[in-house]
Amino acid sequence: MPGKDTKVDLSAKGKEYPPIKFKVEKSHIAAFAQAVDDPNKLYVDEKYATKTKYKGIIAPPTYPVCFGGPLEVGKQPPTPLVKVALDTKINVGIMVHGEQEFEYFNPVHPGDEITTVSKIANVEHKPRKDGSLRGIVTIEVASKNQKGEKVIVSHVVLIER
Amino acid sequence: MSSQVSFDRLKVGDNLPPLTKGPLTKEWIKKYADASGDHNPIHMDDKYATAFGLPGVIAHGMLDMGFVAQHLANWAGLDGSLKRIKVRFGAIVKPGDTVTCKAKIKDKKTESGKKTLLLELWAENQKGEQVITGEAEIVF
Repeated sequence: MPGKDTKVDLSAKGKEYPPIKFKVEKSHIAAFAQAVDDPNKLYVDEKYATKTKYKGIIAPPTYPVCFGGPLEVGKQPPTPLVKVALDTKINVGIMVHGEQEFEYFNPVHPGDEITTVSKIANVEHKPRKDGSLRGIVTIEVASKNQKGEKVIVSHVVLIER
Repeated sequence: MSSQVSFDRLKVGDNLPPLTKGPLTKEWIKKYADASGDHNPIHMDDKYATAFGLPGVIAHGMLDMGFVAQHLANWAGLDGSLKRIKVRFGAIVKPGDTVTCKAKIKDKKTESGKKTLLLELWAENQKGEQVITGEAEIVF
């Protein structure tokens, strides 16, 4: 917050975390598509999806947010993504999700078993308008499926207000 | 309509038809919390949100990203694939707000048979404030 310099630890950069697993369920894909109000039949209609190049239902584009664990601060024990954030000593009390990037490699299908690894890709201090320093942490999250195929690479940028 | 025809007809500077979502409600935000697994109380509990300095519960930035991503993916249709999307979260989105997703073609290239569009994207609330800005690549 304005006035207080960040405690974010620049030496946390490069730290890697053990893999976590996520099982993709058809009903969860449908619930997620509903929650983002996406009417595309590709995510819910097996008969329709089977006739497309995807040969079956696939997950909507932001569904991979579910792979690395939710960014839910306050849960005990901390979710995997929050644990990564905490290791940087970022002040989770003033932290916001600043940016998000997804790079897509292969579609996600019901029944897929996704393995995700996270690493602290970058840690920086940037000045606020009042000259105090805020911490900015970038986490790289890489997921692959049960065939070993790369599915997605995402970057989560967390910013201290 | 073949992908050859639709890709070829697109021009740098073209705007995509916009997509409006909402108005958002507290129940909708809770539904997204359940689907995404993120039950951070700033999305669930007004008292907690105001103690955090917010006017009340707010939508997950990722819910808004779900809107802009679907705007692009559904426009691209079965012929196109979203290759990459990067967003920055701007103004907060609250219950009662609508989110209008917009995008414009910034670049168009064909390299070794691969056709790529680079797009600038943004989303505005009903007051015209930017809630998301970003860019994306779609491959045809």
